[in-house]
Amino acid sequence: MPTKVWIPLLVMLGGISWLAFTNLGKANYFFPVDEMPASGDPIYEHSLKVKGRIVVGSIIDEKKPVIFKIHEKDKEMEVHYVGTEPLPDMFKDRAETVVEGRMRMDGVFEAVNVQAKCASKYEAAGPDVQDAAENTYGQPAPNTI
Amino acid sequence: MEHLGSFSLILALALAIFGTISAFLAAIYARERFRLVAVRSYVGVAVLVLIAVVSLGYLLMNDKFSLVYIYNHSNVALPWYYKITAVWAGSQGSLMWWTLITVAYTCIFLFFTRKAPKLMMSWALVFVGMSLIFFLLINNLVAPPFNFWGQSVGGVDPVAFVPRDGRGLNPQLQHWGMIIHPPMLYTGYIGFLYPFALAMGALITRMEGREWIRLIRNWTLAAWGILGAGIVLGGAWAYMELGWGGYWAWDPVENASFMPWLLATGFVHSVMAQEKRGMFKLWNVLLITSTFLMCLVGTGITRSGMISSVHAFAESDIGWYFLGYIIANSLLAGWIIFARRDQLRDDNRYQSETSREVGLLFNNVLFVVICITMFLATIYPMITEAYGDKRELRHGFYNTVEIPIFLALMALMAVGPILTWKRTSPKLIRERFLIPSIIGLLVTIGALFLFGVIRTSPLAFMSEMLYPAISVGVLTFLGITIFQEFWVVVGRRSKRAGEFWPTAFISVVRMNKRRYGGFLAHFGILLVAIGLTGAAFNKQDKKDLGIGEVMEVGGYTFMVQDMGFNRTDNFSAMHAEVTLLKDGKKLKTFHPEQRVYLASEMTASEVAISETIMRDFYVVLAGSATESTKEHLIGTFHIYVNPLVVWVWIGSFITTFAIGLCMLPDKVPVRATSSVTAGNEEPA
Repeated sequence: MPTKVWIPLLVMLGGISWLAFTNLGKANYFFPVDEMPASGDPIYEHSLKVKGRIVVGSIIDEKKPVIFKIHEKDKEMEVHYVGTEPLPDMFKDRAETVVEGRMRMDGVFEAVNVQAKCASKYEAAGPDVQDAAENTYGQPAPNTI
Repeated sequence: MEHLGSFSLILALALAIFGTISAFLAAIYARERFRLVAVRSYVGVAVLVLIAVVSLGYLLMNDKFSLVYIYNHSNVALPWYYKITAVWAGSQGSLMWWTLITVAYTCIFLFFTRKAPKLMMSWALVFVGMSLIFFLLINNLVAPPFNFWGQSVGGVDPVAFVPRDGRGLNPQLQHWGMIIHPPMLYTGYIGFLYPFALAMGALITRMEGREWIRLIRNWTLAAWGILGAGIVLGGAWAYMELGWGGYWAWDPVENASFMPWLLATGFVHSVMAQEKRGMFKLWNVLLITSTFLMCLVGTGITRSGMISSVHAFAESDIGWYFLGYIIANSLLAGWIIFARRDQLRDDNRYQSETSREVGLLFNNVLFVVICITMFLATIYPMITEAYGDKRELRHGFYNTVEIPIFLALMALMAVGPILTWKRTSPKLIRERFLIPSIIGLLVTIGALFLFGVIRTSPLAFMSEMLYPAISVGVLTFLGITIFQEFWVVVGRRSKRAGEFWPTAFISVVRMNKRRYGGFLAHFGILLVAIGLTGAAFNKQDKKDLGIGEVMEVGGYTFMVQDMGFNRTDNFSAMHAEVTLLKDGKKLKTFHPEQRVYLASEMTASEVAISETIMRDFYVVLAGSATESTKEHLIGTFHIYVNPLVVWVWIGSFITTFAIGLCMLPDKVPVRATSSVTAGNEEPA
């Protein structure tokens, strides 16, 4: 291969790798609520993504910020949503959510972005249906594409 | 009917195994009779799978909620067409639908390859058969769509349980884009099985490189075009239905569909070098193999639940089956490629750095690099989790890293097709690139000032508008070179054949469909890129408004004229009428809705969009505000003004059309009176 070919090729690849590595810092830390490291850890310094289910009846959607709690197993976390986007359609009790933002020193999570997956609809259909469905599928099966 | 469906699936699996074994025997012993047995078995499999799918459709139409799948994905009040689409709305159904597409595609494949070399076809059929077995195994064992309530619980008495109504189809799937997008994507994915199988067959039977590459060309182009169209349809659906004002979010599932497309794009370009110059042989085989496998990797990682995505897939062990199949295939393909490495040596070397070969090399390196960086970024949560805390990369990373590579590709797209094989004369380079590159550079500099990149600070290297500014310059460069190419050849044709220029344009394209089909495809991509660049200028705002109140977005005034509620059997909705005002006059009227689907109790926004050549007006009614009362309705409105979006759809359409054009055989039109060909270049 002529020198005039592989030198620009290497320069190009080098440039792309440089861009990629310098931007790795943009990564979010991602935790389920119950695996959040205890306070004191450097969690306050990073942008975080936390996954959990919305605690039933915890949503206070009267004024800004919208306040709600998410939990995973027995651990709960209070979230204040300060973002500008409207909350997603699926945002309601028991919905599985991923909140993005940062942890405040007082233990409240300040979210700038909230994603929600389909709420478990089995509860609404009554206990029989829920049990049957969960037995068959092992877990509630959300719609898929 | 329930039993008919599951019975057909079992029989189909048995027949697929039988067919694959006979294909294998046909390949080893070179027996034509065995090959015919395999062909007939595969057709039989197709019929059986069709029966299974039709029976699922029939059961959905008849609301048989005794089936778990139907209970989960349909309800009585659902319109009939959505009941049919519910066939592929859930995990189990969509995997069976995938099998149906595979068998249907296989039938088409068998028909069009009936004259292909027999022995090579036998080997290709082995690979096709393995894929059929794999999908049917999944349908039968891992994700059976015909399960009754309580049926799959081992040892527990089946519950005699028939719900009266189903939970309904996910409202977000109730949209025409969602009807077409998944089948389209699956067709694109599975389409790469056939070029891969043919390539393997050709390698095993030691077919000549230039010959088999021609044989698989159209199969690759078809799969590539369909996959591309499927991806765009997915974006269109997200844009029109989801109400977040965008069409691409670098979500793992989106990336999973885009990565094989990138590799395939590299492949359809680099095959030219193999066909014309006998180069890139090993590379091409590796590319087509990894394209096919990448189609399955995406499904594997997203459905296994290893990576979370906004696409709500039921997490299950399906992904692991996919990964197993991928590993098996890659080992097999790797072994075959290794055993035939002597056949994959290049016939020629690079002769000059201004040759088209070098252009193609850069093209391929860039496409593969995009794919690799995307892949690593997509599985970054898995990598980091293995070494400590799980971390995720967001769209900011992708935008910063991938956009410059795409811009480089755009510049290359301007240069590459004009370069000639072996060496490009300096005269041609001067003629074609000097003026366009000067103009492109000036436009870039202008844009840097205009968009405020340079003005803010001379050192603001990573300014948000840096990429859009460069993009404008690069696209100008690309646009001029494409225009110039057509200007030169159409002008020449028009002069020599005495044709009016639109006629001359059509004759030029018809006489060299591959070259000018390619230019048209590039032109479509140019339009798409213009649309994507427009996203840098999106404006949006969100406000709570009562009737008669106004909000301003990007210099446009929107006024709420009316609000109210209505109800159908399927959903109840809050609706609004919003007008776009200019100088007190109504320019456009929007009717956004916020629906609550009764069966599923899910809410969904019906976005009101007005697409125009210059910009989209995108109005979302996000629901009623908290201070809203019955007498004084107050709605939460989210309004976007997105420039140039429509060009993404138009450009994609042109590119898809052009890919179809490239697949047609070249014929000299009878009407042409002159014997002079259109271009001085040899056909691409």
